[in-house]
Amino acid sequence: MSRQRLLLVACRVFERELEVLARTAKTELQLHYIEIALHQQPGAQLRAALQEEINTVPEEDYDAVALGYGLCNRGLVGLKAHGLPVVIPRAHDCLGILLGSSQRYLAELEKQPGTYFQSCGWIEHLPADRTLRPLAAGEGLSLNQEELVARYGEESAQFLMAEYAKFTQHYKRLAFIATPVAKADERERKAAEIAQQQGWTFERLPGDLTWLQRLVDGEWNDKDFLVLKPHEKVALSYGDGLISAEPA
Amino acid sequence: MNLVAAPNHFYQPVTRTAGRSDRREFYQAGGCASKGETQDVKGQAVFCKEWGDCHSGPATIPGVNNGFNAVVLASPRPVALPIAVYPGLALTGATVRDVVTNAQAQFDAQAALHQRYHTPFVLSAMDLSAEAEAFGGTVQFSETEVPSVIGRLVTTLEQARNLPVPAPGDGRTAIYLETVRRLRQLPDQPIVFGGCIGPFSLAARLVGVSEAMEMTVNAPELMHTLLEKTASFLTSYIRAFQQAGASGIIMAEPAAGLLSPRAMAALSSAYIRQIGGALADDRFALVLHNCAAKRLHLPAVLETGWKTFHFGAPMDIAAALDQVPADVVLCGNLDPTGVFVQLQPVEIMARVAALLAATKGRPNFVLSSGCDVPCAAPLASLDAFYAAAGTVRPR
Amino acid sequence: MLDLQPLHDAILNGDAKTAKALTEQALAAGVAPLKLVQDYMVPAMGEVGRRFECNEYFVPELLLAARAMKGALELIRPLLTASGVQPVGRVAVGTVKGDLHDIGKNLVAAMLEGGGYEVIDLGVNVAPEQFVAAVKEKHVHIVALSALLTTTMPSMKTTIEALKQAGVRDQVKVVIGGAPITQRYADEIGADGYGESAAGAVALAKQVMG
Repeated sequence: MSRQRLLLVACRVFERELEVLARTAKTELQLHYIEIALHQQPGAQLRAALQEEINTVPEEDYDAVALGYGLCNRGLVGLKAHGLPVVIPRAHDCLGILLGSSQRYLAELEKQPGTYFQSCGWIEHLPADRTLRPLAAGEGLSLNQEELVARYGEESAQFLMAEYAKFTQHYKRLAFIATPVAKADERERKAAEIAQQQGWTFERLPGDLTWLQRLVDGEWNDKDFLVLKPHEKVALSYGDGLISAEPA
Repeated sequence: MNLVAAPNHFYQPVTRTAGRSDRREFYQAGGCASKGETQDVKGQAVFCKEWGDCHSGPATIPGVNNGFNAVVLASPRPVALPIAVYPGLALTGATVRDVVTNAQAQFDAQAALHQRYHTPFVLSAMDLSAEAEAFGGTVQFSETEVPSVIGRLVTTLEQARNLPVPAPGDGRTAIYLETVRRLRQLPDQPIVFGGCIGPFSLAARLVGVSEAMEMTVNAPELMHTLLEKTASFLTSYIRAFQQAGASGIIMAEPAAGLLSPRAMAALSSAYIRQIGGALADDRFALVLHNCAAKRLHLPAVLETGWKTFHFGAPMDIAAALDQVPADVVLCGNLDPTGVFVQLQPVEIMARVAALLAATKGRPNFVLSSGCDVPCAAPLASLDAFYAAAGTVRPR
Repeated sequence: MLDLQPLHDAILNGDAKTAKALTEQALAAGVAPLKLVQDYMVPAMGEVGRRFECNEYFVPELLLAARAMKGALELIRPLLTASGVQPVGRVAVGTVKGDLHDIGKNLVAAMLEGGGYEVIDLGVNVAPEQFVAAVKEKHVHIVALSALLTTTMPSMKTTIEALKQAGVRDQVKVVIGGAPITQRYADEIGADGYGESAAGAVALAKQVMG
């Protein structure tokens, strides 16, 4: 029996984990990566990028398209399958996926709502001059102090810096989701450093790659994955399933 | 000391139906002890004529192991429970010698792993020298290896008869009991397993392991004399673990794996059955670990009447799952050195995935190492194991 | 006649200093406080919201504009209270349980205040019981729920359930908003209204109060 030919379009946050899992995947896997943190960019850029990928897949070459994404703050709502089925984990975001289940993710958030999560991928892709990735949409938030002063003037820049500090004031814990990938120890150390700089507690959460494994292996049970039939689109659902398929 | 009365069938015919194979499987047998008959065992299907009359399977001891098995059978995902204590030394900086001589060091090593992996279970260390030492045996220590029993404490029947039975807490057995007490204090209340040696492996250490095999043939009375005493001690020792707060015990009986199934049944299983009979309650988990056992030993192992077994790499665990009743739990069996020490994380993840695939759909399987994971195994190996096993909270 | 367009522009440009100065000037010249709010400040914030939606303005611009408006409002509020002007309505605003983000909520609160509403800000991580208490004790007309994360959206549902359980659901209108929220979600959980962005807060409040 020939293996399923799967195109996996994934956020770059998963690159190292997928490197590991792809070697023993049960499907014939092709990986396309999309730049990290698109969910923070305005203008529905994430949806547009994913839709573009889906629309341009050479459909004779694959049996299905899988997305290495979760709901990602509504970024996937409205995404439409083309001629191939599209498989999406029923996850809120990459953090839930790396923790292995939404249940575990929500339990960690319940334990400490003020948790700033990081993973190997997030630490790897931190801009060099930043300790924290900006948390809300907008180009303005990625400016550093000099740039802020240049754009808004000294006084306003001070005000904005103070406001930005408030965005993270409610965080009490940095939870680092550790996965067995290259340089994991180095990433963990950096995360612990960030926690210390911010005055947060640091906790290492062992990652669980079984969800991601099932994505690459083609084991898509209905509880954990939404499979869009051709031309169906993603709708937000308020039940446990998070997302559902709607006819186009 | 009375053996729990049960017919001593050494083997069990197994019929495989569609799915895996339609060969009828059978095992080498010594005969049916209750009838004292010897039957031909030259590769032909041999049935004990009384089998159907006595019972249709090895009699389990009522009340053995319902607690742990219930948790495993009810878990929606495979439970992962590697035997890993010594790798914790990479986190605490202590040595193996510290762990086996100091309860705090042992506790620290296990607690460090528990914290790193959020394990639902914690274990005391596996050290198969403490009980023999309590009996009076000589132990050789090392900074990096588990201690080993050297020399021969008992060489004659006279010595065997006169050998005093120690009490739990004698010698370094106190350290393991104390470690369990401390593990019970962990705030998130994981399930605590104690560990001890099995009666035959202990007796073998008292006469010298290399000599033991010969003596099972040449000096059976001496062996049985010792076995009565080791069984008696282990019963008290496990009771002490119960009192220290353990929810279960992992009994390691590696030496029995070197015996024939018949000898194993008589010299190990019978005594383990006895121990189980004395201790059985609905909750306490009795887990029998035999890292050398192969499939042909399975019926002899089942004769113990225990319901949870832990096997090493020599066991074809997927096939074994076909042969045991659905309420018997089998654990194992990734090779501690071959996998956890020698393979890269990627390969370890692949092995875990392969084992899970081979045992898919079997609620009575627990994913584990084949034996104790040595301190030489890097943390990256356990990281990979747990990442591929998935997080499970069996409660 | 005083040209008040610069006040509008000062808020739009996030110039708090100028906004306050011009407000003082206008009040000193006898301009009605309510007129300043309704004809200049609220429309300015409306324009800010529109630009945000079109990705011309980002969060920094929003924050600066909100600060400018708040500064101006501070001067006006005592006069409104003194002159006996009743608030158009009373709104309890909060970010739902489990969610600690307040930027959206703060902007909505600012907009509503500017729009003449009395705002009771319950803060972040607000348990359903607290919303219920606000309804019972402060007699609010509207409960506005904010959530920034998809993981905390279910708290909106539980808050509405809690209001039902307490028998006060019919006494208030519930509106919801936040990055992951959609109209369909609002419909599914039985909210009365959904706000796409803080900019539309006043219009939405008016609409649900009828």
